[in-house]
Amino acid sequence: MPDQPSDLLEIFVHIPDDLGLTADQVTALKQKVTVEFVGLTVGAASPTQIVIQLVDGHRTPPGG
Amino acid sequence: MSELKVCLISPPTATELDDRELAETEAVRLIADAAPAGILTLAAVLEQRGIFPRIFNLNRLYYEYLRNRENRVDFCAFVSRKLEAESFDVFGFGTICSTYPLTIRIAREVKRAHPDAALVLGGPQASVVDVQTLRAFDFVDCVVRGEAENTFPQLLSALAGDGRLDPIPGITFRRRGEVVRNPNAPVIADLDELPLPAFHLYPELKDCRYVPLELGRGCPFACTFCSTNDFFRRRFRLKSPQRVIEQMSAIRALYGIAEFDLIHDMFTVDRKRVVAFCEALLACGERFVWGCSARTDCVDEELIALMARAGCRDIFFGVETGSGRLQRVIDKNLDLAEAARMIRSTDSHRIHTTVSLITGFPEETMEDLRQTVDFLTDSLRFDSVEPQLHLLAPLADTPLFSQHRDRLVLDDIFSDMAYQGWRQDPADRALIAAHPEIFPNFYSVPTPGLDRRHVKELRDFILNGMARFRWLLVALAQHRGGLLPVFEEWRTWRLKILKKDFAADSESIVYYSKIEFRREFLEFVRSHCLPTMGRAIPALRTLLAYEGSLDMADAAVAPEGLDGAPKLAQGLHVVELDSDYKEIIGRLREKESLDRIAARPVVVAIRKNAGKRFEVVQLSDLAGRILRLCDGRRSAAEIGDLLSLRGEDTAGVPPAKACAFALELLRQEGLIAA
Repeated sequence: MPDQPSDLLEIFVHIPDDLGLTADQVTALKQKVTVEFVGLTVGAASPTQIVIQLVDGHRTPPGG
Repeated sequence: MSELKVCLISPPTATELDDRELAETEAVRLIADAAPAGILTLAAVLEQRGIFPRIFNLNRLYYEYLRNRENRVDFCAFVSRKLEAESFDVFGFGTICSTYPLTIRIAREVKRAHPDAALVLGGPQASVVDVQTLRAFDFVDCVVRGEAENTFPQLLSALAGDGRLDPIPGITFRRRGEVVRNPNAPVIADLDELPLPAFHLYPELKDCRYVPLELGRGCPFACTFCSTNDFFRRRFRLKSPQRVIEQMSAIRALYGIAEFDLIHDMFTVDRKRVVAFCEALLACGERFVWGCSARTDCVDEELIALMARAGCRDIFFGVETGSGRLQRVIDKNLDLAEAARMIRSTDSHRIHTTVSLITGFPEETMEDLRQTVDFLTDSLRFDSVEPQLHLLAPLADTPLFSQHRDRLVLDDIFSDMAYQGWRQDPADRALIAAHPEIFPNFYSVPTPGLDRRHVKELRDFILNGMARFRWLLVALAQHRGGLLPVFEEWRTWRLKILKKDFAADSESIVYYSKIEFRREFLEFVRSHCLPTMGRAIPALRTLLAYEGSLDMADAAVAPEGLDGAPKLAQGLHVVELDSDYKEIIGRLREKESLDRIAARPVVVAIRKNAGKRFEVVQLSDLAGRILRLCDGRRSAAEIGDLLSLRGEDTAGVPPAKACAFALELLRQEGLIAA
């Protein structure tokens, strides 16, 4: 969210009423514009995973 | 006694990471910056008795040393110089096994500079190698064994008074050249009596994300590889919920931190008390986030749900081995099917779950290893689960060590319980080689059924592979009958095609940590595996394309744009794929075949979430097309015109309006900024 509202945001703020869309149109459009969660993954270029493991290993026994 | 000047030195955990870049990474810093809870609790106890110790945090000093390395002095000398400015009567060092050689070297320098001060070691490692340490190192005057909060003040009283150490339980010391080991001290029965750790002596706490806080002590179980039993005498104790919550509230009020690593080796032994703690947290009117350790046979789905509601966001499960046979051999005795169910349950509550596994047991066969790797692979199917694979280290004074003490081997294939970073310091190694009885965790026990070097490389492969291409590994493992065969195939290909082998363990660990491994492994999948995948080829090709794009996602920066023009949100990376990525991941989660994934173009967006992980979303065709047009230069109206020109199906809504509507939806999803 930008600090200052832009013209575009003005448009956003008034959606959907100002666009004059009917409820059916809103429903139809929502079915066409979907964003589905797939999952979480880790980053590709993390060169230090091995170290993360090393350090995390210390959570196990206090002897470690 | 109040005039005694005491210096407490916390054990290092971040040292030996002599690669500056490595040491400065957020992951390492997160742990290295954590407040040394044990030393600070001891300091608080001393303050109650009118002694005001100085705290030296070796992690902090190490970073200071690392950043001013032009002086080129040894770290031990650097620490000693830091301590020279003040005079102390007593130096108390905390110790852990992985950095015990370094602690010993620092202690030697300190004693050299302060020959009249008493040098005392405490903590888990010195406690179990007390006699050996005093015999080997004449600069060590005394070891406080086990819980120090009662013993150490008694020792200080004696040092300030008549000097008689014989009546003090729990210490080992030298008398006229002979090492004397007094009987054990009783454990602290009521942990509520302990004060809040002296966090005011750790000003860096304000920069920490979380605070380690002790929930209790003592694990009643007796796993053969674990050194915890002896230190806390297997006496399970918990602080009362009221006491812990009171301390959490105080820390939040004083330092503004509401995230806690609640320390107990096995918090969930007593279900009723876990329930009481969670209910007290829910009733306290404050919201805290916390993590803890547990056994999978000491939780159930109902309890996990309650813990999640009460703010549990992290859990550590020591599963140790995926082999039912080895579970019995090491006296862990977990039901692995139940363990898998509990892992699924914590994941379903989005509790970040560490699944800790160990390989390299003396009795371990390749079949046991295969089962452990399979268990790890199945853990990878859950987003919130982070498996670990450790190489066994024989910790001092464990049943495992006692059984194999005469057969220890120093093969320079180190467990992560034995060193940090990529290389063993030569001075440390000389100490280790001279004193196997003091530093056994740097040695290995014979593994007739396993080639340790091979296993170590497997570990490097898996840990780095899952960090770099998690789902690709799962897919290959599923198709090839396990991750172990995938590793063997990869290793053979690497030797044959790349003609690359490792002369030493240190070469392997560096190779697998670098981006070169990622590139070469993706080439291996592309050229060697893909053609053999049969009906799963489209799915694997899509996974490859996705993984290939992640390099860019890591570095994704929002383009400069015109004011008001929609553009991709900061850090968002968009990739077009040939098959339904969501369907592929869904099948992998449920161990379903990847055969016959329908070819259809999809757009996937990847962004970093607040937890610094990547969140993946799949867009519908229209959403994907609109997102692709958001280059920060086209206005919303221009994007609408383009949709119109391209004849997009906008569900009967005029393209300009459809576009404005879609942009708002995408903005609400956090995918675009304007």
